[in-house]
Amino acid sequence: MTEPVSHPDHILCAWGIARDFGGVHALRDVDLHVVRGTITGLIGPNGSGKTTMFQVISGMDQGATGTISFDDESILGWRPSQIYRRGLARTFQLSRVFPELTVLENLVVAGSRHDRSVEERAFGLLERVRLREYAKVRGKNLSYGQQKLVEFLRVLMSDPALILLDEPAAGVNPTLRQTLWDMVRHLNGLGTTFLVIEHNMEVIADLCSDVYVLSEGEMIAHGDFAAIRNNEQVLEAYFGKKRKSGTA
Amino acid sequence: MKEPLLTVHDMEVSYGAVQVLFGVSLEVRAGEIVCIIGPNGAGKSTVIKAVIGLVPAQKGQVEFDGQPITNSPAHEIPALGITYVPQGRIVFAQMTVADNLEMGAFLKRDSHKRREAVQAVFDQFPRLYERRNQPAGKLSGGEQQMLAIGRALMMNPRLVILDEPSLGLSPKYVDLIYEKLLDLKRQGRTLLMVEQNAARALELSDRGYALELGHNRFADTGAKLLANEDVRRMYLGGA
Amino acid sequence: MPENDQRSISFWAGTVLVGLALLAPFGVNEYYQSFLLQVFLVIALAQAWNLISGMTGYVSFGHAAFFGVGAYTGALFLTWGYPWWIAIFNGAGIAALIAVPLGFLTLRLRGPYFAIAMLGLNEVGRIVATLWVSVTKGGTGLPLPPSLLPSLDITYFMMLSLALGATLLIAWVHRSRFGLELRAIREDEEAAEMVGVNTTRNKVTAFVLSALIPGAVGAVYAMYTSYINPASAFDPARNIEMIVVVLFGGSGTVWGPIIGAATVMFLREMLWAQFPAAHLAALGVLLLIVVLYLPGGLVSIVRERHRERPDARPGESP
Repeated sequence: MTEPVSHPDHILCAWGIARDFGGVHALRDVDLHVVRGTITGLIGPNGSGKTTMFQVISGMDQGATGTISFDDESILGWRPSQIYRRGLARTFQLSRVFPELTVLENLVVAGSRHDRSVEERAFGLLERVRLREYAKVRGKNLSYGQQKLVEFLRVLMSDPALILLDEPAAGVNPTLRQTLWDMVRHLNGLGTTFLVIEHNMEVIADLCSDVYVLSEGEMIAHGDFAAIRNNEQVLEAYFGKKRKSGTA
Repeated sequence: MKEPLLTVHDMEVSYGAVQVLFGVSLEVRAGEIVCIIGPNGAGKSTVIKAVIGLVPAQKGQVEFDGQPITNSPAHEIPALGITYVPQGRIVFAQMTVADNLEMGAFLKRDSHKRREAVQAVFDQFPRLYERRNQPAGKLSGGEQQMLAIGRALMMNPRLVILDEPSLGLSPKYVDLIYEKLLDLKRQGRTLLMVEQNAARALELSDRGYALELGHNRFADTGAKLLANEDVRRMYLGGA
Repeated sequence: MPENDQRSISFWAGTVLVGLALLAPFGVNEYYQSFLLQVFLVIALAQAWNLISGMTGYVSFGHAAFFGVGAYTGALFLTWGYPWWIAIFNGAGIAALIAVPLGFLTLRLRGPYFAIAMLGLNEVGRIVATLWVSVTKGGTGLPLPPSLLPSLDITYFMMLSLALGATLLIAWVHRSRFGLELRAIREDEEAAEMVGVNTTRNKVTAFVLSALIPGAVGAVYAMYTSYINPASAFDPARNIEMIVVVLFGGSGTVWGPIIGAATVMFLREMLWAQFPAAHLAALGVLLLIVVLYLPGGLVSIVRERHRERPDARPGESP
């Protein structure tokens, strides 16, 4: 395990993250460092611990040990709302738009309490994706794709420095998928850092400058995708291991 | 050549506006073990869910034993001789192991036959016999998986379909389950399974289909697919 | 109906009702005045329940506990020689004070567990009142000497003020940032936390506010009835009443509890005269009707005119 030293280029540093669920080691001694201004990928087969890692970083799971430093501040143990207000936001795999709240309310509640122009901000975001007319429509009356879009806009309301994206394009039609990824690229160009869980390797290859690979709770590889793609351990993690010789 | 027991022909499935299968085909012959492998999003689970009626297929045909069964209601499938072991070890946690097995044969009216079937499963899975009166929720993951498989055998099915039997199991239990599947193979059972752990599945299977993003990519014997480096690379979008 | 028009109508309707309520004592006899007082009591309690249950989504089955605490506190301070307004103030205050630690404890629970925990609290209150004989006189109850009691007119206006205050509080919360955060908690507490809503602080605040009102109402009730005992102060039926009234009128809305209270009380009055034994059953039937056919309550009959569509752009159908 590397010594916990903050690197000025790293917006997020996690050292020695371990999470145990009654005997099941969801995460074991995981180190992860996200460089400021990048789009970093987090990949790995099902059940490898990717979502658990997001739960831990975002504060939703308080049961992990280790150190997490965000923008030079230790955030392990902070409650999620604090972490969000500090500038670290997170989206979910399945849409969690507030169904009875209007689109506008969905956005405003995620904005700062002290911001007088929070509604303006919300309208601005809606304009960008041509959803302004849907401002007074309730979340439950949107299509699934629209809901995912609104959920994405929602975390933008606090102008976060780092956004954790959990399979943002899952279950979404190709056009909308393109819109989402374009927005990610655009925001990244303006300085927002992204850590993305994705299964679509084309996207990872296209978008991410840095990739971490989790398998069975352990970080088994890290680097640019071209190197990862040929990494024997990674291939084995995805494809599976043959049985140990000697059994029937 | 024998007529295949199950054929899937040019199947297309969409979840709302999102299409996940773009014309997938496969066949399973009696006595074979066939596996479906592929990276996430390949549509593996969707194929079998469409076969057993849990998900509607917009296009394509499914035939079992020469009869078309495309989009049959799910509850009619077990009566045809097809049983299903779902992903995630779905057992009735509050019921005992023995009762869980009986639930697998509730179509058998004759309680004597049901008990015989339960006994047959206990013979096959001694561990389940040891725990026959325990609530299923108290079993370990591997034992629950065995229970789910045992339950699927209760109707003496012509075809057993398994969705990721090794998912979430520790290596020790993966070995155990695959031993049991090997036993089933030796008994001449026909199995169709979807697996994340491609290596183990291909070792066990006579033939396999590799899917990628809703399309057939590779189809061959288990051994050949196992040796094919392109299949491995497919998982990381490289092939 | 555009929002501004809706608000205007609400405002004027409310003003008219309050005006009528203020004038009532001068025009009706004591029986009806008492009846109206009871309607105000139910409105105030219903709004309090509405705050924690309708708006925040933490459905409480034991809010009468705070009513009971307020009743006993108010009664005791009166017997100790304090003026009635101090009695009411303390009734509210003590209820709010105990709501703080209770809130932190019970609000960790979700759904049915929270509901049952609150029900338990009501029973605990009743038992404490029964056993703490040195203070509460136990099962025999606390009679209040008439010389200490304010007149019916005064208790009438107090209860009206509480009903009005509770309603204005709900109306304010409804439109405030606080109310928006509460509703987000109701919709999806975890997601709300993830977008910066401090769910613990918000929940506890709502809980304490929702305890404060019944505390005050309980104290006024004691002065109105001039006698309380554990059974009447911690009456489980009062819990049901709060819930039925709000559900019937429209949960989470401002007018719902008012319409619900008025309707239920009037119906009950009519039924009591004709079928004294059946009125609880009638309440049950009402509840069934609402839950099955009118989940949004009576208020939703008016609301559902406004079907939701995106605002149409010129030349485009929504």
